[in-house]
Amino acid sequence: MNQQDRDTLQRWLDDELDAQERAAFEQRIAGDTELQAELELHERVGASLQRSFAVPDIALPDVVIPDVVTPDTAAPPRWPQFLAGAISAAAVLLIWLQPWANDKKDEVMRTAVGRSWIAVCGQPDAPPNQSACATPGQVPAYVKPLTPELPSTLVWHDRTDVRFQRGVEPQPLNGLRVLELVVLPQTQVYLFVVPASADPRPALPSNSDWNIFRKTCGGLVLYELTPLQEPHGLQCLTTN
Amino acid sequence: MSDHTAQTLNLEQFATRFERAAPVLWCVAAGVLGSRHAAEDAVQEAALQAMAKLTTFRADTDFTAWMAKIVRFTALNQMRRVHREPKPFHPDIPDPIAPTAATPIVSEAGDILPDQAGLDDHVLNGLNSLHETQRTCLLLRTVLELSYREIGEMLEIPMGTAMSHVHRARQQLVDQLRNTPAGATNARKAQ
Repeated sequence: MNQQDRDTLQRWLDDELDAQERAAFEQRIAGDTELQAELELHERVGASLQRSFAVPDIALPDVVIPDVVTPDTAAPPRWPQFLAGAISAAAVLLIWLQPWANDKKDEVMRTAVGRSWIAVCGQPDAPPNQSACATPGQVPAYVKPLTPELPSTLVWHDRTDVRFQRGVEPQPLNGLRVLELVVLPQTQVYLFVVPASADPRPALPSNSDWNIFRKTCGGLVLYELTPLQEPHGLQCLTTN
Repeated sequence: MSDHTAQTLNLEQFATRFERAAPVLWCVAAGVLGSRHAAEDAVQEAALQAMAKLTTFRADTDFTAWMAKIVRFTALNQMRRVHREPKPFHPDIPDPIAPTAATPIVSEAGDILPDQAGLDDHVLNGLNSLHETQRTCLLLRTVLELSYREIGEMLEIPMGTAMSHVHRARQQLVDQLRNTPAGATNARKAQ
């Protein structure tokens, strides 16, 4: 088979031969086993690519917040002196009333990379207008980076590979970089943030009672390791 | 001429157009990265970047081409980052959406085709040996059946160049496959 045959075969595959060329070439294929074998290889390569690269459903990141004031860098508001007393009193009242308890508002993680945030939304008792998830456009004042509360020991994946210990910063272990780790105390849900570029794509053993959920947030990936059947309700926020 | 604000998209319009463009964008990312799951991440990262600079998009231009450019740059950056990062700690963990190469392919008649899994592996290996532009052109053509003109617009290359990339990529994969057991078996069957 010469180069001209190969070129014609490519054009035949692209359906770019005119009727006369096509008929002539198909007649040649019918009588040429080498061409038949070449054509079948082309077709099987094409079918293999279509199988291997079937397009998945791509979801948009949930929320984008273009202008967010980062809590630890925002300048404090300049309140008139005469309001200071009133504000203090209101603060005391708020603390006393506890309109949203510690574990009932959104929990927000600020990652060490970029300016992305991940909010754990859907806390059932969070006042709707005090939720970062319910008001995409601003981050509420109570949002602060969480200090990772590490479990005493967490063994993840086959119970041998990754361990986090209380009071120990997550360290690279076997190449895994964990940027944040948070435990939700009520549900014992474990959240990990890893950079998307070093996403280990972990899997749980098939006989595990736990479930693992994954969510992409820009350049970050959030994993949720949970005994529950559903993820906790997660949204990506980013300042970009 | 209408004012600049009228020519940009709001987030809802962006989401609608993004949904329509997503298959092309994913193929562009998969072509650059040669990986299904990394492609999904790159597209989402690109979407965030695009939304942040939505005001720079002119609504009378081709949204898919605009996004494809962002996706391509994002994927290229991601590829460079990955090359700098340490390897994943468990490379043998199966990608949940990766092609299941070990799964036998069953014919319409219900027969298991024993050499199909091997063939898929060889094709994927061959694909990774291609240049990223060749790979992207090939996927856009083979998976989405885009015309060469459309591929050229997406990748900002001439139509003839897109065609040349596809033809060379196909031929390279076939030539590589011909020298493998799966391809040789196939060639023998055809004779």
